[in-house]
This record gives sequence, C-alpha cells and structure tokens, in this order.
Amino acid sequence: MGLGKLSFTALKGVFSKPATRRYPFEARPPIAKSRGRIHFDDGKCTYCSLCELKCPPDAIKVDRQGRVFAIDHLLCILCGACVEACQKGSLSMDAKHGEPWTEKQKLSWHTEAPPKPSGDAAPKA
Amino acid sequence: MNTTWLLTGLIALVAAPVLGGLLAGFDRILTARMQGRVGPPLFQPFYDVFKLFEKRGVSVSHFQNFYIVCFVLFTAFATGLFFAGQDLLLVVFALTAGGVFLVLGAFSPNSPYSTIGAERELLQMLAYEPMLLIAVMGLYLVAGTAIGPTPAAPAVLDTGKATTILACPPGDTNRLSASNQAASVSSAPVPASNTVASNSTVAAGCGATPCCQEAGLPACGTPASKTRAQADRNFKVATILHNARQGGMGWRMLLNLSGIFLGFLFILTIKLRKSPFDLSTSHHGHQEVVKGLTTEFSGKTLAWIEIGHWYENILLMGFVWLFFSGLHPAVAAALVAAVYFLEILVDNASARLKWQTMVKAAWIVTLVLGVSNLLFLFYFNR
Amino acid sequence: MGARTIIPFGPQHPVLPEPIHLDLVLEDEKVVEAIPSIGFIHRGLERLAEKKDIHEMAYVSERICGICSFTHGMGYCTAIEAVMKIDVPERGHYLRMIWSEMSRIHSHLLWAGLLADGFGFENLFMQSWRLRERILDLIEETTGGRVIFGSCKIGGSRRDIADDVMARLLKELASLEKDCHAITDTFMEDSTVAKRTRGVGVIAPDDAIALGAVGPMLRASGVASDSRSLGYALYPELSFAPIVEKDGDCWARTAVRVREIYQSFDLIRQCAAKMKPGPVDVKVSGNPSGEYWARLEQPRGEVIYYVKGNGTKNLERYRVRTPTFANVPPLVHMLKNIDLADVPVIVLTIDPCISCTER
Repeated sequence: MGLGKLSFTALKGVFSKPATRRYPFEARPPIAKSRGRIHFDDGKCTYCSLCELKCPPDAIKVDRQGRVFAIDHLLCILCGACVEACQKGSLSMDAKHGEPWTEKQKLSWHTEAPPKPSGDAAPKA
Repeated sequence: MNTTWLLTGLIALVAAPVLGGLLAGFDRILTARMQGRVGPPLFQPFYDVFKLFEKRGVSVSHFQNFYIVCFVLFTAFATGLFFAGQDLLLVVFALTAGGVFLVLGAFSPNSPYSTIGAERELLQMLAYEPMLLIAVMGLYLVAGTAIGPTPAAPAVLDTGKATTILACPPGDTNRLSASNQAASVSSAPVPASNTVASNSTVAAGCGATPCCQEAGLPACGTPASKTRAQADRNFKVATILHNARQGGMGWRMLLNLSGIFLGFLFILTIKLRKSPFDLSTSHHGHQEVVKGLTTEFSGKTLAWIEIGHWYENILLMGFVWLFFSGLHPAVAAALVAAVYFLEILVDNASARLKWQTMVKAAWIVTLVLGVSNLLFLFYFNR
Repeated sequence: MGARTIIPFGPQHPVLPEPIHLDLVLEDEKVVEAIPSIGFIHRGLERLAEKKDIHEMAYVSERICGICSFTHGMGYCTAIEAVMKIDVPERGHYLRMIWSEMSRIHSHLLWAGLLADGFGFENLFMQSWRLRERILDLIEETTGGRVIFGSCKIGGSRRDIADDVMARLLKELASLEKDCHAITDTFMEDSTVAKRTRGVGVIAPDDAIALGAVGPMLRASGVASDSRSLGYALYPELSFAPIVEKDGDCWARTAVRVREIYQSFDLIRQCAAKMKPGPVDVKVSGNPSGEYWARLEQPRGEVIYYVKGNGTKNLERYRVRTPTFANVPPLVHMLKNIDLADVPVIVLTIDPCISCTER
C-alpha cells in the first residue's frame, strides 16, 4: 500500500517525449503489413470476377461483359479475401490508409476489350 | 500609498482572469505531459471560453444565470479585495458567498445530476472552510500583529472603507478596525520616531522593548507587547505582507505555520478541484455525476463560471503566497509555482475519493495540523 | 430516509463505453435498486448466418465485438471445425492462441484504463491506454489490423508469423511486460485506488455461481473456472492454472485481470517456444451438417457458440451467449445498497461489452 504510486511515471512524463503525436500534422509511417486499403491495378485485370465472388460484404462488383471493376471502399472490410483470390495480381493491399471521404462514392475502372496496358482510370461517383 | 493598493486591486480585477486562464493553460499542458500526451495549446482555455461566449445560452430556470452572475461578482470582489491588501477574513467570506451562489445556481434547475453536484459542493465547503479560517487565523497570529512599522495609509483608509462601505464582515473586524482608528487617533500627539503617523503605537510599544523591532515574533512574547498586541492586530493582507517582509520573518514564518500550511495544501486540492477531491464538478468529473454542479449550464453562463474559477485560482495562489511572504519575492514565486506543480502531480497520482472520505480526511487534517498549530501559536508563540 | 430519486444512468453516460441503461433508484446518494435495460445496439448478426455462407460468417462473427474480436472469430471457427471434423494443423492452433492471448492483453489493458477512468484516475487511464497502443502495434504488425484481426478462418489461420517477426514480437512483448508493472502496481497497491475498490461490490462465491457469473468475475470470488482448461485449441499443451482471488470485490476482480495480463505474456512465450514450422491451415470443402456447442474463454469470461448446419452453405442456426450477458444479473445484485460513486466502478469491473451482448 502507498500513496501516489503513479507519481514517478507522471514526473517522468514531464521530462520525456509524449507518446501521442499531433495527428493530422504528423502522421505515423504505416506498418508494413497493415491492411490499409485495397489497391486496384487496372492494367492487369482480366475481369474474371473471382474477387466479387469472394468478397464477404459484396463491396466489389465486376461486370464481365462491360469490363468494369467497381469497389465501394466504405463497404470494404479489408479482409483481403479478394487479394488472395486474384490470380493476375491486379489487386493488392496498400499499407497506407485511405484519405477520409466527405461523401459516399464508389470507385470504378473500365478498360477496353483488347489488352491495353494504359487504361483510363476514371473514378466516378 | 493607499491609491497604490487600490490600484493593485483594480489591476488584479483585470489581470486575474488573464493570469488564471494562462494558469489553466499551463495546467492542461503539464497534466497532458504527465499523462504522456502532447496536450492543448497554451491559450486553449481562452479559446474555449470565447467559444462558449459565441454559443446560444440555454437555461432551465430563470434564476440560474442570476446566481452565476452573483458567483462571479463575489469571487471577483474577493480577488480584488485580496490584492488591494484588504481584510483577509472579508476575502474568505466573500469567496464563500460566491461559492454559495454557485451552489444555489446548481440547485435551481432541479436536474438530478446538478443537484447531486450541488450537494457535493456543499460537502466540499464543509470540508475546507474550517481549515481556510484556521489559515487566516494563523497568518494573523504570526504576521497580523505589527512588528515593524505598519503600512499606515492602507490600514487607516481601508479600515474606514471596510467598516463604512462594506460593513458585512463579522463584528470581529469592526472591533479591530475601530481599535485601529482609535490607535491612530490617540497616537497623533505622540512624537513618533517614524515619519508615518499611525504606527506610533507600535513605535511606542517597541520603545519599551527595542528588541522587538529586530527580533521579530518569538522575542515579542513578553508582557511589554501586550498593549501593542491589543492595539495593532488586524487581518489585513497589507499588514501581513508588510510585517512578513519588514519583520524579516523569512522561513521562520513558514516554520511557525508549518502545520497550517500543510493543512492548507490539503484543502487547496479541494478548492482547485483536483483529484482525489474533484467530487462536485471538474473538467473530468464525469464518471459519477456527468458534470455535476455545471451540468445544466451552457454558453455564456458556463463561460462566466470558468472565468469565476480563474479568479478563484489566482486568489488561492495569492493566499499561498502569504505563507511565503517573508521570503524574497523570487523565492516566494518559485515556491508558489512549486505548490501548483505539486497539486497537478497529486491530481495525476490519485483516484477520486468519496465524499465521506473527503470530509473525514479534511477534518482530521484540520484538527491535527490546523488546530494544533493554532494552539501552539496561541500558547507558545505569544 | 430521504426522498427517492431516479437517476438515469446511460445509455449515454460518459463513463460507459457502450450503451446500457440503468435506472438507479437513489435515497440521498445510496442506490436502493438498479433496473437495467438493454437493447440499444442490436444488429441482428446471428440472423446474418442465413445470408452469408459459412466462410464469410467468420468475418461477421469477428465483428460481434470490437475488443475481443479475435476470440469471437476463433470460437465460431472452432465450432464449425468440430461439426465438419476438420483437423487444424498444430501451427494454426498456436497462432490462434498467440493472437487470442494478445487480444486478452489488449482487452485487459483497455479495461484497466476504463476502470481507472471510472474511479476518476485520469492519468492511470491514459497510461494504460498508452501501453495498449503498443500491443495494438504488435497486432497490426502480425495481422494487419488493429482491432479486427481478420486472421482466423475455418481450417486454420489466414496468416503466418515469420520467424524474424516472431523474434521481434517476443522482444517487444518482454519490454512491454516490464513497463506494465508501473501501471499494475498502481492498480494493486495505491491507497487511493484501494479506497475505491476494496470491499466495494462484494459478491460471495455461492451468489456468483447461482447468478451465473463467468470469467474474471467468477474467479475473483474464488471459483477456479477457466474455459481454457476445457482444452480447446492446444491449451492442454501449455502449462497454466486459472487465476483465482478470494475477496470477490472490485479489487479482486482487478487483481484477477492484472495477473491474467502477465499470464498471457507467459502463454505467448510458451506458444512461441513450442511452435514448429509447418502448414497453418487445411483446405476446407463441403458444408457442415450437425450441431455443436463451443466454449471458449474470452477476456470477459466464458463465451458459448452454438452452430447448427443442415448441409447447405448457410448455417441453420447460429447463437452466441456472451460473457457480459451472463454477468448482468450479478451486476444488478451488486448494485444494491451502494453509493452512487461506486456505481461506475462496479459496472466497469464486470467489464461490460454491450455490443457483444446484443450482437
């Protein structure tokens, strides 16, 4: 028993660097394996729709005929099932977290049928 | 001279909230650092208060805001009086009156959380008030009695003011101030060695025992000082400050008041609303009573409560200064800062206790440290 | 006796991390009676079993709770694996145990902070959560998530911990364990803390059993009941004994959890020492048919998962009995004839997880 058991820790705090940081101004570098955000590389995608099948919250929608890949990041639970399912390596997990959004939006990509490496990445609402 | 004191009081009225806000800012940064956080900017308390002033006021009962105005007025009045070198008893009672108005304000909206907060605040007052009075008595016993030349002007002028304008302190003060005036009048024909007229009684008294002037308190415990003691005792902040410095009390003052000082530190935790005794309300007393005392206040009113607390804190720091007033001002300032630091440390190293424990502990401390110190001063130090 | 006042405590009260409502009937500051009501955040997760297939359900199950998420996923998977008679590889089990013990440390530290806040010790609250951030960092490094691990699947584990990461993990855990002492000593030995927790909210062993208390709540009353002793995963391989305290008050419940933090550090070390390289999962095919009750030890106590499969890819019935649900009747029992000031402390010592309870 004793009084002020935490006073040493408190005093130490005065003379050492705080554990928190002023977040929006200084962000922590992302941890390597962190599941931050699904990254889509439209050059490699064959629109096989395996990812859509595996997605637990149905955040991914793939139009096989129209060759459109759409992902709703606000539905995505970042489980990484789509990354594991993707055979072409067009989906990957980005360790960096996405920017905050002020309104709901779905990102979608579309590439023309012949193998064209430079697709028009056109995010639309 | 008297205008100087008056001016200090007026300056204090303006400066206390600014200083109090800065103190709160320092407090928040230091607290944050103790908790391993970065903490808010220094001026955050001001930002908060300005923001509160911008907000729409919502009040449940009509009287609620009126009580808060009274709380702020009385607290500011107490602070002004204190820094104008006025009667310490009057300061304490004005402060208490302010506190009572705050409690009344909290009682008026009939909200359960607010009511419990108000009840707890009353219990807190019950706990700290005796020690506060003992502290005043102790300071008076040690330094309220004139030792060196008394600062004449504030004594005479301010007693006049205290008796005629305010007329609310208990009879004690009236009697004292009356005797003061009597003393100053009677002393007029006596050719005093000092240039200041009104302290001639002291001069005369000390003429009998010249050692008094130099030796300070302990040496004054002779029958010769009896007449002087009857005539020149008062509760004025100005007198205490003057005697402490001129009497060259130094550390001896703190030593003679050591029990009372420790007891005062104890109740200071209650007064500053710090853990372990932040029962009725605080910036983080949300766990039991949501916001307790201030639950039903918002907007401007809440801002005024905050400003009232700033006044209160500065006044309390001034009170702490009195204990160190025999020392060099720089040393005294450092010690006051150390006391505040200690309070923050205690705040960050203890859990909140219950009111039963608080009242018990505060009264035991008051009895053991305060009363025994007071008895010592009465019987061994006169 | 004073007039009776009813103080609404929750569902939104600063001390409550989650919404539970208590009507506290007060006489002055004495609580005479507490009437609980729940049902503010029911999300219908069990019903989702009819819409999501069994593999997706593992993710849903994990989202029952934000603090003990891993154990929820693990319990679900354990139940399904038992129905489908899947043998999880040894390394898969060890990984699961490491993560579930890490989540226990994280949960207990979080709870410690909340309790400190409950008795008005803000610094202790901040310090506990500061340490919790470090264990969260380790969880993020090994699983990629901070509170939702997403690492458990039917048939084993979805991720492996590489040897170099493991070595770093153990080193960091050792330093964390050392730093924990400053905090836990305060919980155990500080006089002001003891003043608020000792002798408060006492529940006798008989009452605790009769009212169905589970987990640290029950162990603090002197009943050695720890579901890990039942032998799910590979717990029989590890040496540990249920942590028991006698007093049955808030202090004893704190002591049980504090000691469990250190026990978990020890269990992680044991797991790391016993782990051998090998596969972490097996391939799962087919659908479950049959039913199973799985009992696991969560940070908050014993949790029960009931699954019933009918040979389709969706479960016919999925049911979870969470520890907080079991601990609410003892809570109501403890809330009688106490001071208002003790209410937050007592409510917090059952470690309420209302999201779990209502799912």
